Amino acid sequence: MSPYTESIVLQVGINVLLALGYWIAVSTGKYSFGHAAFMCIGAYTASILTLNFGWSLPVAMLASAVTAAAAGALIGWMALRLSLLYLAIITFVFAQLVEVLISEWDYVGGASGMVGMTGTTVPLVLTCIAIVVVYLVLLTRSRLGLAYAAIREDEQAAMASGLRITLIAVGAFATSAAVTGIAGALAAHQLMIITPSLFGPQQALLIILYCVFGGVQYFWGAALGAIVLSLLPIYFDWLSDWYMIVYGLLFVALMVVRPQGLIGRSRGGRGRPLLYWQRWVAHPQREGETVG
Amino acid sequence: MLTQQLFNGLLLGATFCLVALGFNLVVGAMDRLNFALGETAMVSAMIGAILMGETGWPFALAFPAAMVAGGVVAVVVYFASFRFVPRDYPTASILSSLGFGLMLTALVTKVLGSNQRSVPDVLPTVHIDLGIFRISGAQVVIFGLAAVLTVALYVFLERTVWGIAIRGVSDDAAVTGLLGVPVRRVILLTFALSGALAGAAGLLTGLAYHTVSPFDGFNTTLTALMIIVLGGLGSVTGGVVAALAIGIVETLTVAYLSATLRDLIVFILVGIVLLVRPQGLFGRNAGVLERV
Amino acid sequence: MADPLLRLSGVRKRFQGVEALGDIDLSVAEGTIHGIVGPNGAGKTTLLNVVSGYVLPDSGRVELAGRDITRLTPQARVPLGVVRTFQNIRLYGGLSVLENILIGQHSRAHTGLLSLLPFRTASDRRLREEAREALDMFELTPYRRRRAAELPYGLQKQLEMARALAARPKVLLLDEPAAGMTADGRAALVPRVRELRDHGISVVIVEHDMDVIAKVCDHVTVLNFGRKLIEGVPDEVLASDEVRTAYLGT
Repeated sequence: MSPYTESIVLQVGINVLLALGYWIAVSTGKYSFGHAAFMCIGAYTASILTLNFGWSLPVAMLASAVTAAAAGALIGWMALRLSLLYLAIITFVFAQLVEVLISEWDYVGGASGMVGMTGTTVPLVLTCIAIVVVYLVLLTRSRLGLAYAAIREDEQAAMASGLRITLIAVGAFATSAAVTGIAGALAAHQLMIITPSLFGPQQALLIILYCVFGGVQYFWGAALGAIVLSLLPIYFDWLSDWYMIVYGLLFVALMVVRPQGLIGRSRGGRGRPLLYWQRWVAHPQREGETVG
Repeated sequence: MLTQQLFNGLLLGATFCLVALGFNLVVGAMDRLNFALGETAMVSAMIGAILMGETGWPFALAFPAAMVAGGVVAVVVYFASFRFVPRDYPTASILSSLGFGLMLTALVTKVLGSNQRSVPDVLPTVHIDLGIFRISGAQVVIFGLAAVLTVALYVFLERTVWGIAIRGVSDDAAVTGLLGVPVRRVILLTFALSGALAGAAGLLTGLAYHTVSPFDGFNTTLTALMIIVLGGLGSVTGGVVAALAIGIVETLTVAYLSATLRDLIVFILVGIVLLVRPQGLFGRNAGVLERV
Repeated sequence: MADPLLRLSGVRKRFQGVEALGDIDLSVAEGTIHGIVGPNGAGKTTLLNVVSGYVLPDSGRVELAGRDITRLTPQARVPLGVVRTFQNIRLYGGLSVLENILIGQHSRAHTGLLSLLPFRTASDRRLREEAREALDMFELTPYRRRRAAELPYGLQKQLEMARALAARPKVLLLDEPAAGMTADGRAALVPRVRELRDHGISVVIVEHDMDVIAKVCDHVTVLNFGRKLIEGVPDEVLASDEVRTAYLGT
């Protein structure tokens, strides 16, 4: 495999991981607006361990998964008990917080970032993808996966079925963060240089796009979408110049035409007719209770 | 010295206030967030700066032009991201607006370059010395306009037919619609209004800092989001109070602690609020259940 | 007399200045079918929401077999045996009929990481067998793979109840089970609810249809303006002057 092909395969692979990771959270119906933060945490964790402590990349990646999952659990716990609006804001702000903290942290090079990480190979990336895919296959066939779907379909009803919403949703979010963190670690060791600005809102949007484009109903749909979107700029040179503009517009168009992505069912499938405007107040906490 | 800083803080808060109000208007109207509002402010500010700088327009003309520009952009965003997006995917429009905003930044950077542009000073010869603090001509203009616009918004919402319609839609769109109010048109107006406010804020901020940059959008959005969380999603009063509070906190932190701590302190403040009282200072008691 | 299975004492609830429930005392004896009726706005739904945990009362207690459950979340009440249905059916529309019932069993199944194992445990096999029986009992077997949203209304209501029963409740809260049903559907409802009682499930029915209430309930409580108007045996209560006045205003 030529170095050029290898770098393409690696990029595509990492984007697939990002899409799959995001999909885990989306399968509970929760859309994070700052998932790049977990990618950032994973990238920096692994880079610190490989560069400063001489750890091997695979082991460092496990640490990335742990730190990213911890962050995911924390943010998930804060945000998932509140409405989707709050989830959007909290995850968005969190991503910026991470960026600011890292920019100020001299140990990791501040705004200049870290250089010199290597080690991402095709077998490593493919192994990670394989592991995640196996997990997702098991998940989608299990009662836990069913619980995710129930929460996505109707959270109030899920409460009536005895599902412990916060626990399950936070668990999904943390898992999602972990996979995203692993992708970040792989990306860092492929790009060989990372700076906090790499993980800003553009990256967050791209992660969402990679996942949603293919379709949120099936995880393999999301993966396929990620593959297509990753390959497009390679075959259409001019795209790299207009990257953000084109993909931004693509995203906007997608949300109008098929917000659930290309592959999969065409409608959400709620049994009841929608009100003119669906109101999303801070739920599922109950009347009379302050959230917290 | 302290009083000067307090005044500067109030001034900063006053500029924040307008964008926060813009966000709150949309939250009220559709229970959604317009993540492109920051970039809307940026585009308006750029237009204002160009009109003042290259075309030589006086501020008195450039300012209303910026407001109009803001309104137009916001309406475009409404049609692109909110009007036609299917209602059963609540996060879709918010995500779409995020994409739109990022696309706007990329577009402006492509068309106008990524450099900052300077904003010519206004009333450079005017200085008011009150002993405990001094006010420059520009600051008079900024504060004055921000105050006038805020008060005008209050009056508009309370006293005019359209303003009451906006509040009605914000309260209960379904019922308001049944009462004969043209809900869609009201929402369109709400967006235009929020865009105009953002445009005003953009140019005023540019005036305060003497520059505008294509990358301002993100920061504007970020600050505005934190303000509305602090003040309470959808609350106009909350937005004003929280904006002033954050303006003062930021200014004092930079003056007496360090510039790097500025963002961090605001993040911590917002974090505490989310844990202790998520609905914010003036938020509607987040207790009204979705009717089961 | 034995302790009631479900007891509300002094339950009050205001919503923004309007008193939805005012000092409600209610007891549901085990093994009975207890009806709750009243004109619109009487507080029936709020009462149901308080018992099921979707609304926290301003004051008062909710006790299940002597245990205070007033502040428990709805999901915490399910394993204790308090399960509800929804008036405007809240099925998992995009999921299949079978999946809806399986989710109903959630509190009785292994649903953590253990459930990821690629083989079925014995207990899970038993639960799936139960689910199949439930499908049979509610005549849903031919539809088991169909999306719940595609079912006709009557069958959706069946599924709603089947899903609730899958949690093996001690007390089942039925929220207007007859709403929107045809005469046949309503007729079929009566023996079904009686059968629940025969299986040891206590039932609380919030209903508008007096006919159903009269035929199936052992005990009826009438609410009006958030307070208890009268309660007792259906025949007496429904014929009483108080009820006539409350409903007809004369």
